[in-house]
Amino acid sequence: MGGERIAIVGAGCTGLRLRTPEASFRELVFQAAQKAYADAGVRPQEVSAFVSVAENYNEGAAIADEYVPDQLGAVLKPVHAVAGDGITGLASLVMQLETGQLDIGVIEGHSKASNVLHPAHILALALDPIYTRPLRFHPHYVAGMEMRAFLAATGNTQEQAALAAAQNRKNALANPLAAYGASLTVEQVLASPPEAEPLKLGDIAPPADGAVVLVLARESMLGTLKGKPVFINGIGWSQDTPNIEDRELHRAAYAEQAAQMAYRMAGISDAASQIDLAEVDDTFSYKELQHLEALGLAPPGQAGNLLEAGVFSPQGRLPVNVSGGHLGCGYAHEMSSLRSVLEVVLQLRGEAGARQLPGARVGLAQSWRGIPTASGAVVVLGRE
Amino acid sequence: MLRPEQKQDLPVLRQVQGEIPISHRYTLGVAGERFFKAMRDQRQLLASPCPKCRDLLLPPKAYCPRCFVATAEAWSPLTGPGFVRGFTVVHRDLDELPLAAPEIVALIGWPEVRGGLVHRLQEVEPQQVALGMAVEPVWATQRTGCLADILHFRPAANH
Ligand SMILES: [Zn+2]
Repeated sequence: MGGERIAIVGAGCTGLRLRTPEASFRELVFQAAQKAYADAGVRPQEVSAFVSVAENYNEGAAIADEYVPDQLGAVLKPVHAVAGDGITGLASLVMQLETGQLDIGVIEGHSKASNVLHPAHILALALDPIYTRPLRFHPHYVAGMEMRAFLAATGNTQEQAALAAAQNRKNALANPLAAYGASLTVEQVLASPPEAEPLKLGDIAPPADGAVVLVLARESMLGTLKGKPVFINGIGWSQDTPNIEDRELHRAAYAEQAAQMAYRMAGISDAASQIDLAEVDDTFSYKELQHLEALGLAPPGQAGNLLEAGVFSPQGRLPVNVSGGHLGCGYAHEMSSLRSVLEVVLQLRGEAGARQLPGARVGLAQSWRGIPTASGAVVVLGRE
Repeated sequence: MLRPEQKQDLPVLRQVQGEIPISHRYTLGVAGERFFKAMRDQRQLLASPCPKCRDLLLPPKAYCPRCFVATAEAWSPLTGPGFVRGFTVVHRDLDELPLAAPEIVALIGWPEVRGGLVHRLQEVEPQQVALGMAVEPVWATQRTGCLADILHFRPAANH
């Protein structure tokens, strides 16, 4: 990147859980913010830029970002709401700090998925109101069609997608922040009820509640902060057409584009050999395989084979979703990908506990905005 | 201060419930108006041609999103059957309840167009559906100019 570098200097997370009936979303964010500020060694008064990512319908409120300031210590401060996934919001914060006008920035993401009583109805509101929504299908049909197209075009198999689900659920057992750790076999995933064939229930990341707050700073501020810095070496984002009919169903073109943008910035020419670990969107099991190929972390058609060969396991050459991913941690709306970033930060700092990978220096986190979108973002993080 | 036993006697006050009544109008636009009128009046599917890349766009648009130019005035009716570009079999409804009979959803393309239509596929068993399969629309008798003017698609006769 040109100019001064930007680092993540603090991270806080509530942990993800199936339900949080005792705490409001604001209290969850407050908890995460307290941890993040303590981690960075900052007071909210010292923060000059705040970013929030949330979707109104999931919040059950109009202009929901207006509810952001109090629980972050951001009252009468510049708050920027980003209608996008967590890493897209992170990109916005990075750009604000890169102006040189602001020193320390904070991003928050949260999920109170357990309070969304009719999630499929809300997701259906994202479908085109004239050409697709009138069919009144459960919106998971988009994932089912994509999955079939992806498997058919690349030669990856349904069993390999199920293995991604089983592996991530297993990885989550070593992550105290994860809500859905489990010992599952491929056969058990394949035997789960069909949702939108070939997609099964076991291929779908189940919902979770929680909050993540990250503190960022310009490099020149690092001397005054106690947090161990992890540098944002590259970041990119991309958005495909909203029309399902107009896309190549099998391909995650948005992830290819976002990765190219982030790699260019980070000076990455061969991602598969230069990245030490990756947290890749696995909202649906096949998405992990599709995204790995789009990110250049697996050659076309080879993600499933490399997964079977153990390349992406915690002991493998390129550990993927060692946190458990969304399948193992839980899908937490826009917060999901900030949780992915958090995992890379912990790994690069050497603070990932039982799941710590040895010697990780460069990590990648990738987001997808979910059904029915074809947009997402990529961030490359480094110890230096 | 409440003693612990008094606390337990309190009713649970963990949440309130709310509803969001949302009704909205969605303007079809110049292109949508012409598309749905042709469905209603001629039982025809129209595609709009881009003067630059020469692609035929379905659903038709007033502009080509790739070339960023207005599409040409002379729209072409699709002739011949479509084909299955993608499909799935859905098992639950929007309330997450199991469907009495699973339904086939297909993305249908035509050889000459960029794009396609998402619709239900019927008169065929899920196991018999394959990518590339030729399909045709089944038109409603009473048509009002909307997506439901096509009841569903089915395997094309003579294919
Ligand atoms: Zn064009």
